[in-house]
Amino acid sequence: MRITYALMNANGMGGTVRTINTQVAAMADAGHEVELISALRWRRNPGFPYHPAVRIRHLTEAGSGVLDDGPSPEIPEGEPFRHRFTPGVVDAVADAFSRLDTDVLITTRPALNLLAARHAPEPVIRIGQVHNSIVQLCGDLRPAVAAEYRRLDAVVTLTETDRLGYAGLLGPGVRTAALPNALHSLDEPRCDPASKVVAAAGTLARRKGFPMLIKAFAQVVARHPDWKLRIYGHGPGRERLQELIFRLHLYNHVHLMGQSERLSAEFAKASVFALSSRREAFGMVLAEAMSQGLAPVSFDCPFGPREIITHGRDGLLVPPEDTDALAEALCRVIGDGAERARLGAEAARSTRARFGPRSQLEAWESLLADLRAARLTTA
Amino acid sequence: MAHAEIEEVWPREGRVRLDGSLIDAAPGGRLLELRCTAPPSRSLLHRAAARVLRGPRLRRFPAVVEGTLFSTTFPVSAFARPRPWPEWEMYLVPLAAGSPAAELRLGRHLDDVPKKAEVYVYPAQKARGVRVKPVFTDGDHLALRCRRAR
Repeated sequence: MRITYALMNANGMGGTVRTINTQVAAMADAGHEVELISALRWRRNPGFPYHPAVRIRHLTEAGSGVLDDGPSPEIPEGEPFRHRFTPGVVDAVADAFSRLDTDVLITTRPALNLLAARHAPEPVIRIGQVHNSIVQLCGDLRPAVAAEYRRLDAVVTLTETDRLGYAGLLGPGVRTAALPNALHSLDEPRCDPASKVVAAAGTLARRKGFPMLIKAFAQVVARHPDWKLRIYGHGPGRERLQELIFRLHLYNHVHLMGQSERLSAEFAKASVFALSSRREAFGMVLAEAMSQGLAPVSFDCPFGPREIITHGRDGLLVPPEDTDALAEALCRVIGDGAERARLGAEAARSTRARFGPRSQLEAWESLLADLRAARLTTA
Repeated sequence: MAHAEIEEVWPREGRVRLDGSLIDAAPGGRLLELRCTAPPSRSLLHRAAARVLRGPRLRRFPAVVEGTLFSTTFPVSAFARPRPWPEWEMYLVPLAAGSPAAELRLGRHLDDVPKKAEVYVYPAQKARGVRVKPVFTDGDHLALRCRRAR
């Protein structure tokens, strides 16, 4: 099949870009003709190299002045990246979508999903992929999604919980499916269960809950002063986190590591992974860390962690935003090396079995075949 | 390379404690001296003025050794001047008679962290009008940055 993916910025480094990178590689390997449309080229080169058979088309350049205008009124204010969807970007996307000569268009964020619903030609099967969970549909975005996603052939979420939410919002007319992200590779190095390092990773922003993790780690250090916490990522919250670390006198135990080009190499140096998010659309980084054998301790936040971790078997889940419970669970895996090794080994086994690079290929292909058959029936 | 590897830096209550271990160096005694030295100003005129305003370019504090582990604590008020020297290099020097006078520079060279200046950061301490912040340099040496406190 000819499959066209559309991303906001194909050269980005966030979770959506990484998972689409994996997805297009699996599709290309399976023999599909894959094109990737990037609405806005932000960095010169891809953050992660793409499969050589994937054709990439950047519609606009960040440095060209296309971002000088304010956001387009066509995009709801609730789209978190609305500021990037200026009239110049929106027009370029609308134009590209309306001229598409492909079998399937898969779009990857609210603004692109809406533009696909509005502009992609009727013969093209349109699938809106949802990388943010339904609870993040703020303000005017929710009614726009409710009204316009109905014109899509399918809405694909990352978790079953989220799929139910969208099915309720959109009604029975739209096909919904939950297809989790796949791991990019199963060749990443295994971690050392004896390492006295807890790893965490994510944008340094409120939704990742790092202040709660740092406070929990203060309790851990009181009992296990030889353990360290390393937080990977960058973002607007860095300064405030550093101040918290100073205030709690954790500057010898908690380190903000910055963004790493090779996160898997850093994970290999830790034995425990902590996820303190207030919410996750899926929690890709959790699955990645687990696949390397890190024992995970996570808040049971909406929505991803509970669909990735089976509590007590391949990790520990604690009530969301409960700092004391997080500290207790961390101490449990830190204080018991055998338990840590057991959870880590099972975490690697279960995630590799469920989320391997091609794990979702069959589900995607059968969804595409169903949608195509539905089109033929209607025709 | 023989040096003093920093493991923990504790700036608290107007003092800074440094804990670490001696690498490739036999201390030759239980006592060492922490020597902080400020690089001289470039021009002669500045040097004359600097001596008056900034005071001597050397500060000395006791350090103790246990096996290969060392610890030293100093008050940041020792760096207070009308115009403090902006940066100090730090060395451990054996005190015992007959021990080689090799200076062991303080730094962090043995772990896996690539950008120590960004990752290992510590709060500044203030005393007597001076603000002192332990930092890692681009060469991963430990240094003190001083400026007048507001």
